[in-house]
Amino acid sequence: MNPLLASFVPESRDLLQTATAGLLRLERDAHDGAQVKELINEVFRAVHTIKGSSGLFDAAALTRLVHGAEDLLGEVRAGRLGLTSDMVDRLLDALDQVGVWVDALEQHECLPDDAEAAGSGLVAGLRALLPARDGGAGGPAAAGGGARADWLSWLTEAERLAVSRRLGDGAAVVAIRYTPDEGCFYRGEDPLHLLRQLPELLVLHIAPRTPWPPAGEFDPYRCNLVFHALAAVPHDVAAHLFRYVADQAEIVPLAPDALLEPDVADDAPAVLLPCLLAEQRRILALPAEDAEEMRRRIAVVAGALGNLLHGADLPVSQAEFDAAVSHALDTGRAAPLLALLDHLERPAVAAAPEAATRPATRVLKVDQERVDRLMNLIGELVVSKNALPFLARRAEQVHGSREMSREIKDQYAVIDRLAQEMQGAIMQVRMIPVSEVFARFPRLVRDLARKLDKPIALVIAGEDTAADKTIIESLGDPLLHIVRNAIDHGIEPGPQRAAAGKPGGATLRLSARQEGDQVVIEVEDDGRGIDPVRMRRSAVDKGLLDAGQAGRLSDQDAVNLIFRAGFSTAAAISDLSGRGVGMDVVRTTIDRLGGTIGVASVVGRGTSVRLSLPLSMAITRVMTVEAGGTQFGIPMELIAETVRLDPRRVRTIKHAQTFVLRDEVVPLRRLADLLGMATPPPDADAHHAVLVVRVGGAVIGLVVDRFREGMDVILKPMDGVLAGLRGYAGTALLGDGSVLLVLDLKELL
Amino acid sequence: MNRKRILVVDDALTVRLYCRDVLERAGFEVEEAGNGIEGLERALGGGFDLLLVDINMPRMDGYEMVRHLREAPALHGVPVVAISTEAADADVVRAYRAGANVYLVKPVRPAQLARTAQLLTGIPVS
Amino acid sequence: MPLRADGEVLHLEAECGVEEALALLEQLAVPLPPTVDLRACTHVHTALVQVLTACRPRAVIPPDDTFLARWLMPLLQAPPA
Repeated sequence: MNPLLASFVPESRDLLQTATAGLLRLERDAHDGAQVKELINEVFRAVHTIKGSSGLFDAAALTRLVHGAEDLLGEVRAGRLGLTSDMVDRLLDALDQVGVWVDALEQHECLPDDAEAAGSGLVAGLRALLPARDGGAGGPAAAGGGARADWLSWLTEAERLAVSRRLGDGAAVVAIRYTPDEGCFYRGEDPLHLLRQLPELLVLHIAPRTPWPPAGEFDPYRCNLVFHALAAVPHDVAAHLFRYVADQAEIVPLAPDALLEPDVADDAPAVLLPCLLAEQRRILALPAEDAEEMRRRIAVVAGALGNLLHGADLPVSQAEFDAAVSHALDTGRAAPLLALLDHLERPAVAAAPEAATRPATRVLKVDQERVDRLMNLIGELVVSKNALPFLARRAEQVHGSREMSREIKDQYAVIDRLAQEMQGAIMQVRMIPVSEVFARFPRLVRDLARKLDKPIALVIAGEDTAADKTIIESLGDPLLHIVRNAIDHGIEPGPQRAAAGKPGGATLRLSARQEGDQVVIEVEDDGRGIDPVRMRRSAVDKGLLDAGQAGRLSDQDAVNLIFRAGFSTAAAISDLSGRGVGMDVVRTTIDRLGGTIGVASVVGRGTSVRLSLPLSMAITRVMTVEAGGTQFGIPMELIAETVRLDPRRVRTIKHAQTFVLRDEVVPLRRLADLLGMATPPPDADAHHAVLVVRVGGAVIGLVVDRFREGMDVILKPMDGVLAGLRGYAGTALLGDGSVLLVLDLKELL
Repeated sequence: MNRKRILVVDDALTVRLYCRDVLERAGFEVEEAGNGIEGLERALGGGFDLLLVDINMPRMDGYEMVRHLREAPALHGVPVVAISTEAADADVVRAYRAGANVYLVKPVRPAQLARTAQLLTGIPVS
Repeated sequence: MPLRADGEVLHLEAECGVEEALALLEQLAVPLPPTVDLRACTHVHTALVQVLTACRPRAVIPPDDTFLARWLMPLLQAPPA
């Protein structure tokens, strides 16, 4: 992707997020004047910045839409408009659309074909909220692209800007070239009067078609004028107005970008230099409050002029220039410099020096994919460094070089330390704040609350708490489900709350904090709570428990039934928390992340769901193997190689089976035997699948049924009754929901 | 010859990257500041041949930054290019009164930006 | 009376129609044309615009009418081509 676009995409997403969050906060706690002002400024600036940056790309519809939003926000900021819910809705819709377009830019580097149409409706909606000012200016841009009238190059810079702005606002602009008949006055026509009828005239140039003849031959009744006009009116309105002189008037809708087409000539120093000089003249001509200000301005202009003089070949000597400057400074008057500027009318020639090329490289935001790639590479480094001790041993045993062996071991120690540090560093890079997931909730809660007509105040705390990106990203769906549950089932409708003597507006609290090496996220509501009595009854009704079992459950265990598969509370499935996902799925997801979930509830007071997750994930790369019909994981860092062994190569030495691998005698053990599994003896003729592992300095061949794929897993220590089992490093939950036992070979062997 | 140094002050990262790209290709050394206060601090530190200042910025806008800047006599002679999305004449005048030498309206075309910078820093155009 | 000569000043007042064109030309096509005062003028017919443009009176007092002030005055003030 174009590097600028690559920067624009994440930047505008951030800004959209800022703007959205700001709008929601404005709508919700618009009480404190200073805070409101700050928030509006923040939202305005975010939108403004998007507008400014978007101009760098071919995304006119996007620029127009943010411009529309900016204008509306500008009115609010200036205090001319109050912010209403309707306004917030439309602004949010506009920001959503911009978000969609940013996605499109990211994927296709251009806006979708329907952008113009989709945008103009939204712009019109935003403009409709603006106080009437410019008359009937609105309306969609000229359909069909419009034309670029050739005479537009005559426009002065000021006119060009004025027209560009109206076009940028989404106004339809027509370009009219009106050449009245020579005899038109005899038919009672008055072209100037007709032009007066144009509602919003932006530009009008009146010029003779042919030079005026000498006074004696001049006939005032023969029309010799041509009119060029630009007006912010729809084409059909203009056409209607000129319907009686249609043959004399050329009316074309102006393409939105008609005036933005790069005009190469503008960039030539021959054009730029006079412009720069003219601007310096203009600065000097501005009124100054006192001589002090004028002196400062003279110095400012002198600085620029001195450089211009230096670079461009201007017909003024350094001495003349210096004299003019000091004279101006002495008198506190601009006249000497203005006089000098008068001499500088001659345009400079030729092009700029050959531009030196050096690509820009400072990147401040890094694509997540790149971090992931780095992480994978480091993972591979960790694994491949494990070949070095093996190499060291071979150097000593096979090649008889003890010295070489030691050197390799020393190098290994260095690489090992570096690899571990790199792993730690990359883990730090991967830490992102929970605000990344929290950010979607203000909008979601607002929309749900409005839809269900339950006023809800969302309180967010601790959004700066950071954790590994995989954890944070995986939290989105579980949290979404928990929050929807709380709004849908937990929080009562207004009348019920009133009857219970609770405040009409419910409070939903979303908080995060760090506790040791865990990040704790809580979702608390002040709703009706979970009734253990109802939970027991429901479990029995659903056939999950019999009445006896249900009766023996503690209240807490009854509440915990919500995590049971197949359980969803009575009035549960609405279109909101529907989607067929229950709390059991939430729990599974959290388990897979190596976290825990708990729920606490007080009937009538509310519910609190607490998620506790590791701050960073110890990702372990394992190779999966099958032994005794069961799948096991073996940490990749212990594996030296995999070998297919012909049974005839197996030798028995003192009851122990061994085989020779590159002149080294390697003991052979069957994994199923080590694990105490009863398995039939292997087929005598089949090749053995042997995993050569290195444990505590010893090399051992493990015979397994078959090799499976390698994978990254999050290792969870064995807990509960399994904690006492020897030989297992822990468990990992696989994508398909099954549990993989990861072996601790040190203990096993 | 030493390369001319330009300070680009804009709160939008994309715009800064754009300016940096264009100006570095044109042979300049570019430094960046993300807001007016940082920009002012950097500029007051000296050593720049040209300042490119966005008008609409948080904390301290471009007008204010340039006005403060011009209070330092040593910085009177450093050309300042104001850049803004606003094209109204009142904005231009405000920027000039604050002390800008040129006012450009976004989006600024690459050649326009590079040439303006070259002219204002006195790089010879033969 | 849309056209009113007052010493060295020629006043164009209210709506000045096409029928005034020749009179205006007579007033302006002289060695020392009068100052043209457009202050009270609300509209000038295009034929009169031609006369004003072709004859270029040396001094014009701008009209109060905003349309004329904005679009006609630049034409009358621009240096002769």
